[in-house]
Amino acid sequence: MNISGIIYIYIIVSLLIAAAYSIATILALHARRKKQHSKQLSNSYLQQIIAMQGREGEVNARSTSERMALAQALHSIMSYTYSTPTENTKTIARNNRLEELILNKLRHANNEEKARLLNILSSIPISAHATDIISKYLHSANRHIRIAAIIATIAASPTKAIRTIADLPFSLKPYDTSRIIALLRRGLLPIAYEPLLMSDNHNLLMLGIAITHNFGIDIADKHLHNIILRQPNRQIVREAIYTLATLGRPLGRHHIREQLAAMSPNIRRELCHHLSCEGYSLSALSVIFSESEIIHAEPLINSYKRSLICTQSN
Amino acid sequence: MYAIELIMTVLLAAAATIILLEVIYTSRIIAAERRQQLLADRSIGCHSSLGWVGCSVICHRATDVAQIENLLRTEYDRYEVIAIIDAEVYGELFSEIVSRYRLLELDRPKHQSETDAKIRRLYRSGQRRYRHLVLLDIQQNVEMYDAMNCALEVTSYNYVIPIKGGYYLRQHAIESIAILLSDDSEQNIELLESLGNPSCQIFRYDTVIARGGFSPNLPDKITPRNTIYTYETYICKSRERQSPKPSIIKVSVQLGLIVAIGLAATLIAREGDIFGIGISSGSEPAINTEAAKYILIICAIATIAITLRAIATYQIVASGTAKCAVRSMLCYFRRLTAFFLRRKFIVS
Repeated sequence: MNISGIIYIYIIVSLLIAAAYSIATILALHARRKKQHSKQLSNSYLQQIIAMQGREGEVNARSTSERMALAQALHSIMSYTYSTPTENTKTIARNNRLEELILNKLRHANNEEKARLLNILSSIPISAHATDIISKYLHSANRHIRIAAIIATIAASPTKAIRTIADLPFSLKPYDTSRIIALLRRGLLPIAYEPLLMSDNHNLLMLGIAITHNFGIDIADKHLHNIILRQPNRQIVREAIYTLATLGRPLGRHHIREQLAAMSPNIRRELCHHLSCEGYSLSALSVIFSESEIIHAEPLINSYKRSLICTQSN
Repeated sequence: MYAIELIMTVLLAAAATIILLEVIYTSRIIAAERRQQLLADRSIGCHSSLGWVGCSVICHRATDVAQIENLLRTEYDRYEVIAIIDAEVYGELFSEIVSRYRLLELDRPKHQSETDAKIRRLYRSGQRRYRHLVLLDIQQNVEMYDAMNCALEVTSYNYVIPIKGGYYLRQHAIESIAILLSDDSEQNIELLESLGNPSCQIFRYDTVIARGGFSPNLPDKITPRNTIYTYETYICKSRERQSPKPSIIKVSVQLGLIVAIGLAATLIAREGDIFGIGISSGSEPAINTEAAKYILIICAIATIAITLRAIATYQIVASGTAKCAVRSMLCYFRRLTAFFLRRKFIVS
């Protein structure tokens, strides 16, 4: 084939790629417009639902896009409020068949969309049938779908939350735990922290420590000391030490110093830095760390300690 | 003609390589963008520390209050902004920031190190809602890397994000970073490099101190296995937040041009009997073969430009950053050169 033929083939292939991207751009612009319209609709439903709180009333949506916007509005309200009465939510979800809509969309959605839809399901009262469908996604290969399914399952059956978390075949990451804590903040989960801190299950233990830290439960310090004393898992011990630091507890005890001595220099330096920010004094740090480790803490401690006694510049 | 053919061959090979790399790059950017957009829905509950990951943004020569306002918008609790400004050179801006955020000068002890001596004054806010802001007044003529090293003296958290004036954080950037870093339970990540546009490097505080502070060669001193790369975009330039996005009409015109070039090239190839298979109606080609070759070369050059522009336009729309297609295309060449050159730490 001569050069002209090659040029011609190059032109056609490139133009096909360019045409594909141009069509994709037009579709993306169209999708963006649809999304903006949907957001406006969702905001309007949000205002209607808020106005309805504590009173009888109806919110109706007809088309699929309107029902989806209504579901998104319900999800926003449930995510940002605490102990919202669910009677209105149940009525709105039932009258507009939101569960059916989302389950239908779930079947054909791509990964990110599936995760988004499962998140919305966590805010809508759902039936036992929906819970069975969601349970399929607990074993998804995609992490975001798995976590969204866990949150939706826990929100649907709060009394089974501990069992669901304990039975997970993988370890929860800090972000996953924070999403469960968000459900706690909404007043949805009746979880006590003490059994979690005494559990042998990795996920339950991490959740218990996260609850202690997030809610500032300083009476849990004896459990944290027990964890530091007995736990072979370094990650859990580190979490417990950090949580004690957040609670402002002394860290000079023998078992804590022993565990810290076994940690890598990086983690020790990082902890030293963290304690400086938490307000521990140089003398408290010198009990736990060596002089070479606390050398960088001094300017930071001075800038923060001094900020308690600061002067107004004229 | 031989020279022209050689040049065309090289040009086409280079263009094909760039297009292939950009197709791969664009698909990764778009996938990362979709994940980040979904984060907006799920970031509720991320406001408490994730895995004790904390981020300190070190902003060198903040240009205006709007930038500070943008940097303070984050709700993540283990977060701070250390703004570095020379009060003598940017006096008006400095005063505006101090009064707006009710900043108070801190009573610092005498200079403890050479780096510390370059800090004239240190400010923090007396108001709880601005507790994340620290303002450093640095001496004149302190080089950027030295100024950032001064900021390290008062950094509180374990990861530092150096940026310079005129750059803004994208929505949920800090939460995205915290999620990515907290996923590493072994705490081995020393450098998180965002390959989005513009690129951004996030260093572990400990690592920067151990390697002697910020310098252009800092990334080379970090073990590659402790570096992770992501296509998520965390920062954008100020003008990208205001520029208009491409309209459907402009993109339709682009599509029309593509079809027109394709038809023209096909007509020329047919009438000029490019493939030498006698497809013209007469015994000789309707257009001189040499002339057809030159016209095809012109079409090929136009095709290169329009293909790169089509990919750039799609990237702009799908990634949600409002910048112009020409600047996006220039980034292609910058990325290619970055592939061959040793990586440097250049503050975005």
